Amino acid sequence: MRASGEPNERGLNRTVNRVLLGLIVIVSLIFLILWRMDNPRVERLRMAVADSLLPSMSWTNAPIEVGADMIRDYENFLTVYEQNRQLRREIQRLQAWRETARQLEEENAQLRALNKVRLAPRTTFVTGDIVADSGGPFLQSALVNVGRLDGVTDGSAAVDGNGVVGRVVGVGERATRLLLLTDFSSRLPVVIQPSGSRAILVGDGTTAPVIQFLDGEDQVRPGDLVETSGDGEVFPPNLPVGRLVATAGKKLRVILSADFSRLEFVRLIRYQPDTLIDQPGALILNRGNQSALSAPPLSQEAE
Amino acid sequence: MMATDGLTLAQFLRMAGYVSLGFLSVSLELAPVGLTAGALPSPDLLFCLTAFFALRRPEAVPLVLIFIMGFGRDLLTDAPPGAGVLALVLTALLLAECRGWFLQRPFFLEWIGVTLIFAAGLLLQWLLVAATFAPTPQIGSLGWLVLITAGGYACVALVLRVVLRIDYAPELRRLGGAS
Repeated sequence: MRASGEPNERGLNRTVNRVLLGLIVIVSLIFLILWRMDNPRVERLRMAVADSLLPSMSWTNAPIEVGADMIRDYENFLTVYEQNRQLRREIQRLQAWRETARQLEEENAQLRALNKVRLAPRTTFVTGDIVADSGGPFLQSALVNVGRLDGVTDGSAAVDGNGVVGRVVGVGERATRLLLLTDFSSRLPVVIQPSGSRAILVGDGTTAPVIQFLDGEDQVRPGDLVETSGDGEVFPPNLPVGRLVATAGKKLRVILSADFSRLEFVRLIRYQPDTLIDQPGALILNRGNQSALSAPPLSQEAE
Repeated sequence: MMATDGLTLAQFLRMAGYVSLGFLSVSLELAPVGLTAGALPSPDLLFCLTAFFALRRPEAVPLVLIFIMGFGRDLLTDAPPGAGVLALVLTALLLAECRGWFLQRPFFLEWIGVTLIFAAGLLLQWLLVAATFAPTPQIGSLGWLVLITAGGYACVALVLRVVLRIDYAPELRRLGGAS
């Protein structure tokens, strides 16, 4: 009985496996298409998984980070003499700049006083620890251990001490996903100083993203400062991005100010652009206020 | 890769072992050590683990389990969801089909075979992503990932065979690789 039953069982196994494989292929392709369509459900699922699993993964990061720090410290130790010389030169240069900055600050304060400028503290930030990176060739992103509970919103700019690192593309309760400026799908509106030419900074998987759609190409020079333009009102304007360099084939690239090799903490900027009321149609309250105002009072609801 | 066999305690423990080690592999892959563009990629440790189990203990890695682990990894590592897991499932299936051939060969040939199958899986991922007109890395840049994962497979195989004593079932070795 058993001998005759075994081929049947094997055949059944094979059939079930084929059906399962077919289902897996279909489900995988559906998810790939949904991802490509930028379906928000995929991002929500991603952040839900990150929210639930990242805290338990942090214990494996600790020993790896200690090892990486040791290697980095050893490399620093080997170059400490050269660094010291560079720092002395830098200090001399900065002393001259400090004097200039002090004069400019005084002048700025006088001008603000004349114009009676009131600065609204609209840009705040929250600092987070980078707990994971994508590690794969298809995407350059990182996960940060702060999320919606800390006031992070989708699209926020992420900066380190030197400049822009990337932007928030997914927010969970306690985790945030950053798309780095170097990623293939990163696009950032920038302005090149001092000419004021506007362009789009396009990530291409290299350390120096490409400048595209540049207006006034003849007005910019290698070495010019690249800053966020604030166009689209997602990023605050004038955040430092990097310096312009020209490469072979007349391609303009940007050497990023942010130090990606030492990136441990990032600041996520909570930015709320000014509301300019320049026409009657622009007098529209933001969604939060609108819902608060349109909700009926509690007494009416009770009725 | 059986789907309807009764689940014995030993099989269940092996599956639990695969899940635990898979979780550890993904954690190690995610450790933030190289955020610079062009930095060497992390080895695909989940593939190494799955390949090792698919060759030696296929009953511990049913398709559904590989799918869950691979899909979870795709979501956590921000990879295009679906492409990575599909490549992982198909390569594991291919390795399980070829285990009879690998059983009779030295580890060096297994190493080369697994590396080639991983490269084929990576190419499949690249093609799937390219087919959706999403930006893709240059194929040449994937070579580093293949080389690093090949190194990772040797380490994973060493750890699992020597430390955790996971290998082909002895009766299978005696039979000469009937799969």
